[in-house]
Amino acid sequence: MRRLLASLLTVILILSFSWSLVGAAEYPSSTIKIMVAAKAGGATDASGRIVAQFLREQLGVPVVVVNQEGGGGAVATDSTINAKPDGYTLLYDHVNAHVRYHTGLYGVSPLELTPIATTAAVNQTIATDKASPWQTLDDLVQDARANPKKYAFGMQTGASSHFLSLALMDAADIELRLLDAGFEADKLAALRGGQLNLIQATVGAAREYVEAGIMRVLAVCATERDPLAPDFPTAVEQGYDIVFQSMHTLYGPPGLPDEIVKVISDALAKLEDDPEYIEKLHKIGHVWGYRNPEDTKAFVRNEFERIGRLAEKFGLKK
Amino acid sequence: MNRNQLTGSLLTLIGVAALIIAKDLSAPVIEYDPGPRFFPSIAAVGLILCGIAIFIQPQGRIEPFLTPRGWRRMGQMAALLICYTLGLLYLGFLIATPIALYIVIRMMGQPKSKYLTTIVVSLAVTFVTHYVFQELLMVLLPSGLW
Amino acid sequence: MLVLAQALQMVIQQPFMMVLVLMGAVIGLVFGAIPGLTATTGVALALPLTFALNPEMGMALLIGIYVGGISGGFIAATLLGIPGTPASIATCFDAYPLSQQGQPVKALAIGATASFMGTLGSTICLVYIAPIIANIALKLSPFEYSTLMFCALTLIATLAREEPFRGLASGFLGILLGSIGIAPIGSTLRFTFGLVPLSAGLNLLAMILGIFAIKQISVDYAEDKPIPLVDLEVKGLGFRLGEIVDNAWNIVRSFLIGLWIGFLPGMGAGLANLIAYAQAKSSSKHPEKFGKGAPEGIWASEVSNNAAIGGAMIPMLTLGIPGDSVTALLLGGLMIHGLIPGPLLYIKQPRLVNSIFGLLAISAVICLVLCYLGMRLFPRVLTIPRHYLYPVLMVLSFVGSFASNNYSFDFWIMLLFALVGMLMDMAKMPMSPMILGFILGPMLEENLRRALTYSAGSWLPFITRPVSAVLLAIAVFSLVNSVIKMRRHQALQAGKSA
Repeated sequence: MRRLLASLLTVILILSFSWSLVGAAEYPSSTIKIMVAAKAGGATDASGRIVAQFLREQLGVPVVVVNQEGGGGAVATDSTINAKPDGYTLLYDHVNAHVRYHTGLYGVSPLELTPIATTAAVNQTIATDKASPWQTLDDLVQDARANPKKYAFGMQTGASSHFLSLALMDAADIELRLLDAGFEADKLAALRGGQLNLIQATVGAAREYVEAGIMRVLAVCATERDPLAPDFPTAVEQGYDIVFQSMHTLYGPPGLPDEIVKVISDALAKLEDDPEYIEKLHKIGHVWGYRNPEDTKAFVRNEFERIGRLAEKFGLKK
Repeated sequence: MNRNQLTGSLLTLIGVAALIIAKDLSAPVIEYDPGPRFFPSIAAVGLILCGIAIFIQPQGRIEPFLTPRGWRRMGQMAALLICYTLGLLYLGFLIATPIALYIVIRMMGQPKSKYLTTIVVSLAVTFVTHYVFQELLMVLLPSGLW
Repeated sequence: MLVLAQALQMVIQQPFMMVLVLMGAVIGLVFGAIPGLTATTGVALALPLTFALNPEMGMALLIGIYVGGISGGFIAATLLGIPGTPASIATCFDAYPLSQQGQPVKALAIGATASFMGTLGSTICLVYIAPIIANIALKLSPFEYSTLMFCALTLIATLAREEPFRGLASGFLGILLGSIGIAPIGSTLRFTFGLVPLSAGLNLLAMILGIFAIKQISVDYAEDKPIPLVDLEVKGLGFRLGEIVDNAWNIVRSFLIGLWIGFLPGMGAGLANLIAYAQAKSSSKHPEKFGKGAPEGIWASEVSNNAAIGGAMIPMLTLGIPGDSVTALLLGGLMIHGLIPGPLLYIKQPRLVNSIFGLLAISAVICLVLCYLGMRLFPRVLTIPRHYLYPVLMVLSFVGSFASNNYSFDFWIMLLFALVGMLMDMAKMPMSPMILGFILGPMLEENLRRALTYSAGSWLPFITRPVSAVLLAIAVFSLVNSVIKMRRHQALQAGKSA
């Protein structure tokens, strides 16, 4: 027994010693975990994996995607917040981070995390059934002003699509009936079935359904037209200030040193010049939207406040 | 208290507790939604009713679940499982697993298991599992708090 | 049969594709057989590998794993009494007792054949009727979904005929456990007691591993019972051909249940097997034999879980709506190549759709062959000394509960449910109603609440919409029916003891 104990202690000593050696080496020197706040197989996961693959090529260390979709992403955020700020645990998340905080799902503000870079964006559209009389956003707004609370917008309560519907009601000053309709595919079914008049759809999905002749896009909720679907008009050009992108953002744990942030951010900046990767992102309906750490910080703060204001105005704040 | 009464009162207790917690759940956000407390409350009431029904059922003949020796062995196993979990969290998979394996194999196999075989099996299982998951499948196993 | 024959030919002509699908099936069977690793885990892990392949080759690997993973679940269920995947929970109830009675080979042979029938049959349905029935998914509203789930929940009464109150209590407990986490509508946290990990809800896999694997290992160790002798001889099919004829109606019914449940978005093989099992029990002439090694139960569970595969592929391929968690991943596998399944996929990518048909059929055959080849080998697991087998299973359970979500909190969930499982055994409470309630409860709640917001609070549409009304009538009938049968059962018991 004593011998066993002694050998065990030796093993522990050697291990901890070698670990401290690794820790002292230059970053990065071992596997980087990217916690993705979405389940495997979805669009967020796909874009996280593309970014991970690019980082692996740039940094020369394994970069592993870890999916933690639980709690609408609260679990992934919690894992990151509690991780050591050594640059080996990062978080890949989007606007949901702010929604989670403002609706009271997760108590720690995303501003506590260290923003590293914004990466890929998914543009959201406001869409209606092909048979609908509305041709433009203006048609909808006029009709909805004349008939408050008549038209049903399908969204997922307490999720980012809920806030998109609030942004629409806020900017156009209309009242819609908000109905819970679950995820994208369920919403489409309800739109076709006539239970819903309007839904939110990603540009990638909308493009497919427009081509199939079953859907019409009233507006893309962005300042500029999406390069993937240049014929969809934006809300802004139609005179309504509805900007609601799902901008994927890479965060580190609180207190991540600036040197490490710079290493990752600089590596990511090069993705823009790699047509192969840009092509990969386009295939999954994402467009590249890199920002450097300072801009990312400002962007995150801005988003945080915007979502907070909507939550407050429509009584979702907890 | 016989076993029916114990089961019944425990279930009723869970139901009442759930009902009390559900009562404070916040109001619905969208119109006509019965809200988050509606469904758990139904289940809780159902549980309470079933609990009472079980409580008043006549108790048939019961055999003990485990012998006293069985309970002692169950205690050992429970302690081991909890220690292994803590070991995984604090020491990591590579250290906690061979130790736990060694102890369980000895525990279960006495006097049949031999020292050397046990050590070899413990280490082999640990490293093969670790290799397959971490290297081949890219599933990170708990690495402990190093 | 022309379409399917062409599809098969297309796959067989491509050796690389055959290698991939064979590899996938082997990986899938291993994942399915090992408790804690599921078809979903397997496909999720292999998904990134397929990014480098072209879509058809990627699908070959993923579909192999999918079919293998759902099929392989019966192996652990039969030999160890631990469901290899949630798709085989109900298989445990009868296959394990049968194998403990010294007939593991018979139980395995039924499992392999039933799985094959389920996959192949549902593939044929997918090929020939998918476009016809796909639009049904669009016509169903939350009203129909609610009544359908209510209908399924009434099966709890069937599962617990011997002890109705204990069964119902177990079901209600399951519904309460299912409501832990974020409420399905709105972002309200329920019963999380301030613990962030609980906001994700309970992990079904960790629960099952606790209830079946860890509890089983602990209780067996505590009881210190001798190992039963097993018959390892394989004769012909392993079971009489006549049994297929005897079970014909059972097989057809379970197949249709599996196909339908798979077809409905959000539900898959994990639910199908429980419902088919309950139905088989409720319409059997000898319901008292269920749970004690009745082959009928194995047929029902294994046909239905594999039938759910083809069922789940129907809305995925035709509408882009995944039927279960694995097809959601397959959707991701196509999406990464810029292919968005939906109404246009059949027109734009006929080759891909065709090869998916062929791959499903080939996978079914491969799994059948592999299972029969391994039939002599698998039961040898039982001859491994228990003091080596159980510790290895314990480690795999821990790894499995961690691997599904990468969250160490799931260890504690697993241990907690080992305890819950033991307490329920002591209280003689059946486990299956709890699992059914846990899976169905959140779905029923979501659709019921959604339906009420659609109808502005009115309950009337549940009766006025024809499909919903029919489903409600079935639910009421099955409830009344089981009360009557329960009475008869109690009268019989009373007569016996008098």
